[in-house]
Amino acid sequence: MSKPGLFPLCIVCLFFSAITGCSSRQPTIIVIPRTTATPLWESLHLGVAEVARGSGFHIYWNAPSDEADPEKQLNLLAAGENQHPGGVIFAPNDILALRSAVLQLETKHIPAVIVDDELGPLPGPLLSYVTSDEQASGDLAAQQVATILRGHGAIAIIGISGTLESGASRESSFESALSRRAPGIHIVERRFKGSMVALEQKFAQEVLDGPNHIDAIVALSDMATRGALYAKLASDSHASIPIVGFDQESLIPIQAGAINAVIAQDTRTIGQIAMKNLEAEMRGEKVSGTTKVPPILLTRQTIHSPNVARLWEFSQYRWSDQ
Amino acid sequence: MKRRGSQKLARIYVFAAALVIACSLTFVLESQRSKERMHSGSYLATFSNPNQSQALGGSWSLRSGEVVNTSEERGAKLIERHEPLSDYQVESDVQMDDPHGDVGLILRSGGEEEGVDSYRGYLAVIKPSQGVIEFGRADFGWQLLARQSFSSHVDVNDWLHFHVVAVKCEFVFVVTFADGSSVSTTIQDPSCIIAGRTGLRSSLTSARWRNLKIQPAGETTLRAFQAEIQHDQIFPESNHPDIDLTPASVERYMSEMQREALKHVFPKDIQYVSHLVGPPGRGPDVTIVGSVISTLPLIMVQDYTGSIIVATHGPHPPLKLGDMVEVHATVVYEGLARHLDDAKIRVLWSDMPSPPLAVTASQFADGLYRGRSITVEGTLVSATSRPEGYELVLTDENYVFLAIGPPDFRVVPRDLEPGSRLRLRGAATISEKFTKGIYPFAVITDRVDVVSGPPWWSTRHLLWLSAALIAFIASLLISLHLVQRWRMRSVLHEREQLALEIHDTLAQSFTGIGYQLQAASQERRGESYVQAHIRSALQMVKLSHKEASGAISSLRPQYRDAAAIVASLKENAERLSDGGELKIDDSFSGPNLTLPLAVTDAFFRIGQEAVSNAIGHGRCHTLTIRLAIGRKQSCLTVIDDGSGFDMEAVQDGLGIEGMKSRAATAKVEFKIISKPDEGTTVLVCSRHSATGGLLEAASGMLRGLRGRTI
Repeated sequence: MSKPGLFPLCIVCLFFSAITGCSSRQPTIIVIPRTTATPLWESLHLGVAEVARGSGFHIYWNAPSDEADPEKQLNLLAAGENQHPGGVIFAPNDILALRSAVLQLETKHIPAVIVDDELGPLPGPLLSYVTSDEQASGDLAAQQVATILRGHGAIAIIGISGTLESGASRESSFESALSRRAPGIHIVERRFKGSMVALEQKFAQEVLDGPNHIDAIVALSDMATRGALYAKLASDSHASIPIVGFDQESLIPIQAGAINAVIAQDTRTIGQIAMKNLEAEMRGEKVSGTTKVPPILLTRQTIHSPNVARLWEFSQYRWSDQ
Repeated sequence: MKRRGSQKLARIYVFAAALVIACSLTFVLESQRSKERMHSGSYLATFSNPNQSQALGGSWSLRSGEVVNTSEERGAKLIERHEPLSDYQVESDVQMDDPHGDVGLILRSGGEEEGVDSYRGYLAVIKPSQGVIEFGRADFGWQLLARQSFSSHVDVNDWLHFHVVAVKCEFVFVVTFADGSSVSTTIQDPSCIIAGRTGLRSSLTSARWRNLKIQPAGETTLRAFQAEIQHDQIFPESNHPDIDLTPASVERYMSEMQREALKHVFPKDIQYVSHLVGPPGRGPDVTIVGSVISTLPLIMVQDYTGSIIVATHGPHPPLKLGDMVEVHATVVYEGLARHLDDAKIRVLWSDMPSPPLAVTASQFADGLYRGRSITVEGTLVSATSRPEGYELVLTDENYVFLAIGPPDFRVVPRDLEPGSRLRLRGAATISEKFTKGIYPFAVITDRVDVVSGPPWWSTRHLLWLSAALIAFIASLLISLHLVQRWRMRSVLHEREQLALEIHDTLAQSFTGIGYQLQAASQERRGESYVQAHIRSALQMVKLSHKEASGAISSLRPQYRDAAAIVASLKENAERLSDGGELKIDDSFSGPNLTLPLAVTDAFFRIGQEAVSNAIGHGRCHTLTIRLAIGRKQSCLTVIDDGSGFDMEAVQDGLGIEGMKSRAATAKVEFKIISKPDEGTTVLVCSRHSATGGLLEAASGMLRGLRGRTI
């Protein structure tokens, strides 16, 4: 085509580009955690966003306001799929309810990374897992309990998850680590998790007021940890019961000494690895099927360390750039 | 010729540039006008019209001039659907039920979705459990911009007064407590969000807003506020800039936690719903503790073993979904069913309702999930507004059921289209009081979501489609009719032209021949005169034959492409030379396009005349016919080595006038060069039009693409 012939075409194209605002931008990455605006998940958000920013990807981040709402999470995932995303990072609320949704992603050739749980489908070119190392978490919790009780006593476990593989794995690894590290400590009560903090508090309260003497409570989730803390704060007779919790929430009870230790997930690193894996999957590269990230111990002595502080840097991040 | 073409192209470029500039100016002016509208500050909103507000999470209603959210849902928002505002101020009285939660005002918001920080805008919020006010920015993630602590002696359970001013990228946030004391903070966000909507937000608490005002603001308002307030912001020296781990703050937070914990202690000696079993009739008095899953008109309470209907005969405290209540009542057993009668209800605390179970209409009708908090989907049959709320009739899997709900910001019955797929959340009942004995069950609904609109093949849409189809066919028929008429007119016009042509040529010739033959038959002057008439007649026959051949040739201009013009002219030259020793050199160069009809006709007719002249008058030995299709123009050249002529002496003879006339009609350029004994050159050129050029270029590109694969 001649140059004079090209010129009017260019003008027309430029004009329509200007008025329609069309531009070539990187595909959107859909990130759906179990919930948002909590230290556990916003740290993951930060990890994903800082890697995505370096690669020029746009992030869509949202989740149900209630962690126990798999249906809403499913709706968000379905809505995200319809946007033709470049990939999906997903933390399922319920492995059985959401397994089909993840398989659906694979059939649509959408690369996906599952975080914080092992859903069931085997990893492949379009699916990988990045989770906290629950074996190490269980071991770390057992070590803390053994130290607090000096190797002897009776404990209760609350917040056992019946719907998450990571929850079951966390519980079994803790029990086996405890029997190995402190055979003198016995588990005398086990309670499944409740759907709200008040129920967790009720279960903890029942455990404390029950016939079995309890020397410490191990709470396997952030909600259960808060429930155990509330039961402790509301009880005169058990005001000094030690609590070892899982999953970071507020640091203040740790600073106050009301919670002895929390086994935190390094969700920032999990987010970073998940985003890197997703990018690799999008490029068609092979990634590790399952990556396990070591946990971080939160105690009164460690919460001021840079390693812990980096988990709380999300509130200073400029999210408008994501 | 070339200069004229360049001028035409330049005109096109100028026109295109003018178009772009005009559109850009329109866009800029419109943006400016929109900005002016935003800055005009004429807007005043009070969240007084539920239809102009968008609820995202929570359970919102308007009560006695107060906007109320009765849900503890995290990040529940109510967004006023006003035009985006830029420099303005928002004021409101705010009261929260649970100081463990937080409550605030949203400014310059956009892109709102359900979710805790799922919007792009600013939030001015108070967090009594931490003893701070905060101002930050949500972009589907929370960025804290400022925090200020306030005295632990102020009463946060009373009404608080919020005042937020936003001017350019500066903000001032002031909270005034019931005792007249206040806390404030100033904020600068260099790359700020410049405009957006206004909203209310609460998290983990029910809350009320009243005396809401949205008014314009300017530098003066902002500076006046800044002069009044303190500027020191508290950001503790720690690795956790948003967490205050100072002893005083920790103590305050822990005492708030303890208060919250004490509030949530479950009473002892309570029964569970699943344990309430007995013979028909009135049973013993019992106490249960559970979460409210349905409020009036049907109160239902659910613990983690099951749910039960609670009937009260006297006044009871206002209930909302998620309230944890202690119910002391008499159990009434009715066969397999049971309910609590004459209940005394005490609200222990408010919480989020338990997530409902997702069931289908048939699953519910089977009785598996009766009395549970459920979500069920159905297709809307009808929607009715009632003073006490709304009533929807839905169908799913051959079941038709009823949904009843109180007034809700989210549900505007007249906006719900029959055929839409709806998802209801609530508690279902088979009580005839609600089913009216018509429906198998009714859902006492607390939330309605539209899953999808009605299918496109609804009766209304089909009618519209049919009407559009009929209109399309009618317009097609009209167009066809018009084309046929146009074609008929063309044919008639052509016939008329043909008749004139025959009249001017053959008819005249026949008249002349007849005249000569008649003269010969009547000639008495001698044989030589008779022969002279016959020769004249024969000459006229020859001339007529030639003219008839030309006319027949001219009636065959159905050239499919440019190359056919050259072939036809060559064929014409061969016929005219009639076996003579004429050497014909024909050539064609460039893409074999289909030239416009007028150009094709002009090329052929002028070429035909030129060939005829070259053979008939020039008596040439060599004839060159050349057609070149270029990027900008196409040219036909006919060159002969005949006798030529003096162009000054012969100006309009030899059909030159006809050729010029045809060229002018077809808007092609015509040139003839001749000298005595040096032959003649006839040149006809047609310049391609701009659009023709673009189309040609595009078709050329397409051909090129095709060419690569062929």
